[in-house]
Amino acid sequence: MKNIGAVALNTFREAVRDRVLYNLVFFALLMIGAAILVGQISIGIEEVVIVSLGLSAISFIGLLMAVFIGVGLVSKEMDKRTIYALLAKPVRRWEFLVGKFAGLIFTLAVNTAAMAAGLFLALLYVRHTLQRSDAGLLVAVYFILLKLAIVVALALLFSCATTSLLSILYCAGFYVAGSFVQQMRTLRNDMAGPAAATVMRWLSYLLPNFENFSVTGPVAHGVAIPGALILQTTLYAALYCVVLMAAAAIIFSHKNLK
Amino acid sequence: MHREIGYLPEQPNFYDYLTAAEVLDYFAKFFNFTAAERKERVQRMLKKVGLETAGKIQLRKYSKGMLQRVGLAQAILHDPRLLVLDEPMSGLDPVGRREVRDIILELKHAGKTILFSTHILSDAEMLCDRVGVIVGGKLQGVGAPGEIVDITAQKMEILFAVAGGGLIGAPLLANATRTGDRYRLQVAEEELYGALAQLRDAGAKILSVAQVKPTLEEYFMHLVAADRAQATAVEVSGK
Repeated sequence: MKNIGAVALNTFREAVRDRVLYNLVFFALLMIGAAILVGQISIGIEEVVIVSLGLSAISFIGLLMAVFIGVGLVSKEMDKRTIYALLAKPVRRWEFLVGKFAGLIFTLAVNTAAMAAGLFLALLYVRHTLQRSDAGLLVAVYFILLKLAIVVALALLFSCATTSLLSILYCAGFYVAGSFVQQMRTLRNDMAGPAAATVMRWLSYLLPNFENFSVTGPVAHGVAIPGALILQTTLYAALYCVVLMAAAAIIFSHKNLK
Repeated sequence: MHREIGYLPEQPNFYDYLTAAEVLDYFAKFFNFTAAERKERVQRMLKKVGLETAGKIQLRKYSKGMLQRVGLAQAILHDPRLLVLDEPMSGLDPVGRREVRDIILELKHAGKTILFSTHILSDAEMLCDRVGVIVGGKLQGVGAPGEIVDITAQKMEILFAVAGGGLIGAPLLANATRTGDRYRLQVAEEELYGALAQLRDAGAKILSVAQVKPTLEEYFMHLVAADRAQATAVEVSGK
C-alpha cells in the first residue's frame, strides 16, 4: 500500500507540474463561461443549459485527460527509461501500475472538483443563490469521475499491450461503443441479421456501459438521483476497474521491458 | 531481494519535473525508512555524489554527468550489499570520473560486491578484483586482471643512455625508441641477458630494467583480433 501511495503521489505531482493540465482546466472554465453566455440567450432555461453544457465540458475535458495522460502513464516511463531504476527497487509491477492508476484518478478528481466549482460559480452568477437540488450536480460530477476511472483503466490496459497511438484509438472506440450499449442490446434481428444481432448483444454485456454514468438530463432538471443508483453505479465502476486493472497487471508482469 | 541490490542503468534518466532531492526521496519511500531517515539519507547521498548545492534544481536542467551522479546516488541510497552499475563513468568529465571511482573504491572497501560494465578498460583494471571480457557477445575470459592478461608473451623493457653516440649502428638500436638521449628497448624475457651484455659491451649506461605488463586493453584487442580471425575463417570455410 505504501508503494502504491508513493507511485500515486509522484504521478499526481507529475500531472500538477505539467502545463497541459492547467491549460485543460483553463479550457474548461472557458467552456463554463460560454455556458453562461449561451444561458443568457436561452430564455427561461438558462440553468438547464448551463448545467448541461458545464457537465458536458467537465466530461469532455476529463475524457481527454484520462485517455491522453492514461495512455502515457506506462509508455512514458518506458520511453524515458525512468522505469528501470524504479523497478529495481522493492516495488512490484502491479503496485507500480495500480499506483499510476490511483495517481491519475486523484489528479482527475482534483481537476474535476475545480471544474465543478467553476460550474457552481456559473450557477451562482446567474441565479445569485444555490438551491438544495443543486446537490444533484455533485452526483453527476461523481458519476463522471467513475466513468473516467474506467477510461483510465482501459487506457492502462491498452498501453500495456500495444502502442500509444493504438491505445488512444482503442480507448476512443471502446468509449463510443460503450456509449451505445443500450442500442446494441435492443438491436433487432431483422436490422442486422440474427448472427450480428447476437454478437452485438454479447458484446454489449462485455463493453463498459457508459450510459450508466450519464445523469446530466435529470440533474439539469433538478431530479434527485436515488441512493441505490449511486451505490449500484459505484459498484459497477469498481468491479469494471478491478477486472481491467487485473488484466493490465497480468500483461504488464509478462512484458519485456527492454 | 531488491533491498540488497542497487542498480544504476546505462545513461540513467529520471523524472525531469522533480529535483534530485525529490527523486531520491521518492525512491527512498520504497524502503522502510522513516521520514527523518529519508531526509538524512537523501542529503548524505547528494553530498556523497557532489550534488548538495544542485539538489533543489529540477532534473531537466541537469547535464548528463549530473544525471549519472543522481543515478549513482539512487543506487546506493539504501546501502545495498550488491551493486550493479551499467557504465558508471559514462558521460562524466575527468573530475567526475575520479569522484565516481573514489565512491566505488570506498564501497568496495566497505565490503560491497560491485558488478559493473565498462568500455573504459583502464577503469576496470584499476578497480576490479575480477574482470570478465565479453567479445562478440560471448564471455571470453574471466579472472583477476593480472591473471587473464598473463597469457600474452612477457617482455622486458630496458631503459639506457648512450654517451657520445657510441652505439650508433649497433643492431639493437634499430628496435629501440629514442627520447632525448635515452633509449627504450623491449626484448623477450629469454633474450634479456644477451641484450644487457651487448649494451654493456658497447658502453651504454643501463638506467632501468622492468617487466612490460600487458594491459587489459591489449588483452582485449588480442581477443578481438582472435575473434575476427575466427569469423573470417568460418566465412572462408563456409564459401
